[in-house]
Amino acid sequence: MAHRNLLSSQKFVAVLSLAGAILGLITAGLATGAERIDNRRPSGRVRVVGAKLRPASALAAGDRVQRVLELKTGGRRGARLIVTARRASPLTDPKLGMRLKIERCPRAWRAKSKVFTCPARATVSLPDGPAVGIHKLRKLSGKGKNHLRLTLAIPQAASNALQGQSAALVYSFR
Amino acid sequence: MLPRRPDKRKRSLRWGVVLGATAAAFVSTSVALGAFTSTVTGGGGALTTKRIFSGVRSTSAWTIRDASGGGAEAIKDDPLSYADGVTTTTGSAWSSTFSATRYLEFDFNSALPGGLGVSSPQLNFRMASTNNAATWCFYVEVYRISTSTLIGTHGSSGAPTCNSGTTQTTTQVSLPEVTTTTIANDLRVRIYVDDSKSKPSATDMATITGSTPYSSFTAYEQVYRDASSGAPAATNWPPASSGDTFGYTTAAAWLATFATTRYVKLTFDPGLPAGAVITAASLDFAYRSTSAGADTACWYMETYNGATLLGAHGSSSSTISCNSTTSYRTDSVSLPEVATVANANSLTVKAYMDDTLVQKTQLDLVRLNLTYYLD
Repeated sequence: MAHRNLLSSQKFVAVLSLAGAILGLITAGLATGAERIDNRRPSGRVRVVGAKLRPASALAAGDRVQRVLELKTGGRRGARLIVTARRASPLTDPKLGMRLKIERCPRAWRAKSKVFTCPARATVSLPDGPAVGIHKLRKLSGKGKNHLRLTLAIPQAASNALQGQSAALVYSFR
Repeated sequence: MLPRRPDKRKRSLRWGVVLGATAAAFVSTSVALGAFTSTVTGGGGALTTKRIFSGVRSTSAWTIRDASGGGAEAIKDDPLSYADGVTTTTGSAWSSTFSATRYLEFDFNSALPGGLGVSSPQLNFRMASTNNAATWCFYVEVYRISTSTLIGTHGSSGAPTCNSGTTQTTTQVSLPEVTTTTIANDLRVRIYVDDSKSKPSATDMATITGSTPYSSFTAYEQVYRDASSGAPAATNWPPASSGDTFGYTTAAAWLATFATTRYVKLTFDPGLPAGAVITAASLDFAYRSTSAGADTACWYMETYNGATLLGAHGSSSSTISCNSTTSYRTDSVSLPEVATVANANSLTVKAYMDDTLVQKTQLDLVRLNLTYYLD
């Protein structure tokens, strides 16, 4: 009987784990806009270990979107970030489109209203510039997590060509 | 062997639990990581922009009902904007052959949000000869106002569109060169005309219509140039622009005191798309008395959606302003009641006026400014 109970409870845990996996998938999928995931790590040194990402909609000229992620660099104080777009869009035009800035906070970014604030002194790892391209991230911490805040901005002077556009960016950290 | 079976089963189940939990963690983590992956790929951070960015779009009124005399409303619409039988006859007779210097020209208003695609753009041109036995022909050139660049030609002197007689005929000319609202906001149409009997023509309507992905629109003429003589003479639609020496003169003289039966009613067609969010609305109104003497004209107004009163601005005892000079006075009146697309697209402004010397007034500018966006 005891054996049967153990079996049942183990079955229950296994089912729970699977359910947890499915639930996790659904929950995270909702949180991230059901974005495609690929967690391959060819170099194995630079790793994203946490991210809070959501789609952003109805952006207009001058709008900014902030997202945070946590990055481990395996001892390096710098990393390379390659941002690509899945398809061409005026939003990803290097001259007229979205801009990206990345800042690092020694501690986790705090969500306050619609922005993330650093409870300590933040440093700029990537100055404001065109979002799509190959970027060098500087002033990273080789130890522990790098708490990064990504700010995507639609230029204030964005032309009407950016109206009604969508873009899907792919971020590759190396 | 038998006693070992439960252990084996237990072990395999334990492994199952561990693997399941690991899978759970992996799947959850993977998905939670979302767009950013360690080194290679990740789902894109999906970003979309508003369909129409916020901006001020201004338009005038081409529909006017004038009850300044206190009786029935006189229809004082722009004669060139509606197929209403109210025509504008050219100042001179046309030649029986085309000439590069003889044409009609229309500059259209620019009330559309820029940068949108345009579908089915067309010129709606309604005209007739003043001689029943005449055959009259025309062809069309389309220009950008800002650059005077020719962007389209429809027909030619050798292959024009022809009609005959004095019966008004509407011809629709497709304008595929008007691909965006930026171009539609910057349109000049020149129409070369000849007449087999060398007679003047009578134009009933010249408008541009089309659609953006979000709404249809009509562009109205605000400058009309009659070059039937070979020398263009411009007539501006008076309320559409200020400082251009063209003012709308009321049909009758006002009284020295206000009367609810005496007003000028102007109806707007801003063409806002459904779902647009209006963040500001205002009316620019420039007026003066026609008298050069020492009289004073005053005004106040009401806004309507059809017959429904939306708001009152000033009153007979507390006017918006008065003007005792010979120059135009311009007031900008905030219209917070124009907060919905329905109210904006059916907006009528009723301006009540008086004049101490019982004179007519002139309106140099009646312009509706709407700030809006579309998510």
